Amino acid sequence: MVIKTYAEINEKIKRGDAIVVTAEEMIEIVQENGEVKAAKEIDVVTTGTFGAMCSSGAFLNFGHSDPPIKMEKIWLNDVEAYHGTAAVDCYIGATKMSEKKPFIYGGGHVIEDMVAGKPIELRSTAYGTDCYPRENLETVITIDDLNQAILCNPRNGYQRYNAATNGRHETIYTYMGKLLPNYRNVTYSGAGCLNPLSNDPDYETIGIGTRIFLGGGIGYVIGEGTQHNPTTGFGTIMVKGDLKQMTSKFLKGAVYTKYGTTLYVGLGIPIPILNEGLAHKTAVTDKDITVNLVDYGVPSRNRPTLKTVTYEELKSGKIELNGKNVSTSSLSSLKMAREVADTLKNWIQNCEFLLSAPVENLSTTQVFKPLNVRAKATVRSYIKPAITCSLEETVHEVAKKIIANATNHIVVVDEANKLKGIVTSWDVTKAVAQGIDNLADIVTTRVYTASLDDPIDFSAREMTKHNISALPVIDSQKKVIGIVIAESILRHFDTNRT
Amino acid sequence: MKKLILHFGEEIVNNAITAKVILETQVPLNILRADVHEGGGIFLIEVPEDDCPRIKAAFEAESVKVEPGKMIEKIDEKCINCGACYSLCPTNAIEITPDSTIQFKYENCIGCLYCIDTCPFGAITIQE
Repeated sequence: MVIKTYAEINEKIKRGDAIVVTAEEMIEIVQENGEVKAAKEIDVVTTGTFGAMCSSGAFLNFGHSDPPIKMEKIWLNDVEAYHGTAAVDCYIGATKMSEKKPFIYGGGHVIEDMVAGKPIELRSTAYGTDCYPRENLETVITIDDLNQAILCNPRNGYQRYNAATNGRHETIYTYMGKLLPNYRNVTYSGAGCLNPLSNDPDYETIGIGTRIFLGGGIGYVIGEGTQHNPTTGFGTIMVKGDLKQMTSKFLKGAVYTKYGTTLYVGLGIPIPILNEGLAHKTAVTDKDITVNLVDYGVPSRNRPTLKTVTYEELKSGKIELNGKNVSTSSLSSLKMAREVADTLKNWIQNCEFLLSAPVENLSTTQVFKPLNVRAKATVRSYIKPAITCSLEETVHEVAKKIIANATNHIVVVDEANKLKGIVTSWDVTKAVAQGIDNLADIVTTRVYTASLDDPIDFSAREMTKHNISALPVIDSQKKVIGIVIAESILRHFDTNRT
Repeated sequence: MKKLILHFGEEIVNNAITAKVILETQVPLNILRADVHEGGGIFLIEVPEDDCPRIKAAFEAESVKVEPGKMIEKIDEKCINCGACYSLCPTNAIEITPDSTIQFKYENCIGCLYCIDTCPFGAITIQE
């Protein structure tokens, strides 16, 4: 039974004798020599990851102007920062977008530019008080002008993350990137066997006070991250570090098309090999780590899992899905993750970084609860009977149905009541003006539809997106069971507001 | 095979130039991509390496501007080598090297531009 202490390992680091390897290198060492020998020989295993971490941001303190201001609203390069604390403190969040250049520039870019030493435009407004009379402020600052610039990320370093694909018939843009229709590609995130928390899945050595690599500087774990979910293997950490010591190489502002801005964070944790158990755990391979492949085409929290896949499969560039080879994209950078683990390894070997024991370990029992929205609205509550016709009817007959039923939408069905198309009052008006009486000439056959259990917000979004005012509601056999129209949804939102 | 980009100006966009060049040169050139509207058009074509000078001359004789076929370009300084673009490419023009570097093989690119809006760092640009 090999047992080492933090103090012993730190002594070796100070003497320059510590044996440090990366989590990738550790795999072979344990496979060749076994856990016992590896635990004796290896002192520290370094990990690393470099990916999009939306739950990131920085606390900044500007110091007082003369006359002083109690900042009420703050913008940094036109990105609004949160101000709900004292006069000249704020928090700039990674996903907040520029008011002038949304989807191009955001809080993540402000942080990157700040760390790179670039000048940042600071704008602020206030209501003025007896002690803080100033009401406006516009100036240019750099990170050196700030009293404190503290990167403080509520949720970083996911232990592992679900892979994404899209079963819809259209391309979708998500926080998991661009997903092609009909399961044509897969995206994933995380460095697999290099992922920090995957190398210490029981959080024996990770907790409040663990010193880490953060954004190219030194940071600390300050507790479990938000949504920490250890029982299912989705642990997270909350971290902080001095932004002034970080580098823009390891903190990069990023944009996900039609989703928004974020920050890529370089994060690495050193795992002290205190015992054989940790030698065993840090030898985890990509093959050992599985994730669910989830259909992001389903607009619900409960997205269906299509299968489980390993990081080994994902990293190979293609996986098998429904009998086909599907190409995979990593959203995080494995190359940069290796650089994080290597840099941390060098720091320790060069006596520039000592390990710290946590004062309290991360929870291993915490559960991640969903938010239950009361009276969740679905299409079911808005459905109306559909007025239908068959393709054999004339435009004239359809016009009569429109008048008789005071509706704008006639759903075209076959004998089995299956959806064939839709005709609107506008289509009919146009046909009458042009002297067309054959219904088949004016019917729209590519119809956007809804299902009974679709969230109403999703149906509203579909209508806005495609500039239409109704969706036929169909069952799994494509049989028409009703229609949901824009007016009903509008009425709902109106009642909810008053 | 070699790729060429053809620029057709407004004044010649209605002429059957490509057909004429094929008949004249007897080269079975492959049209990979074509964007044509009344203001002009752009073709991406693939031709056998040896026939390239002849094809180029034939198009230029018809006032078509001919350029080497590179529809997109990766800016290496902006690329962090994540690979977000990799699964979007239908023609294997994006490669991951053993050390996890992302490399573009422009000779395979057909200019579909699927990859452009997947890059979180704006590292892929369209060649004008």
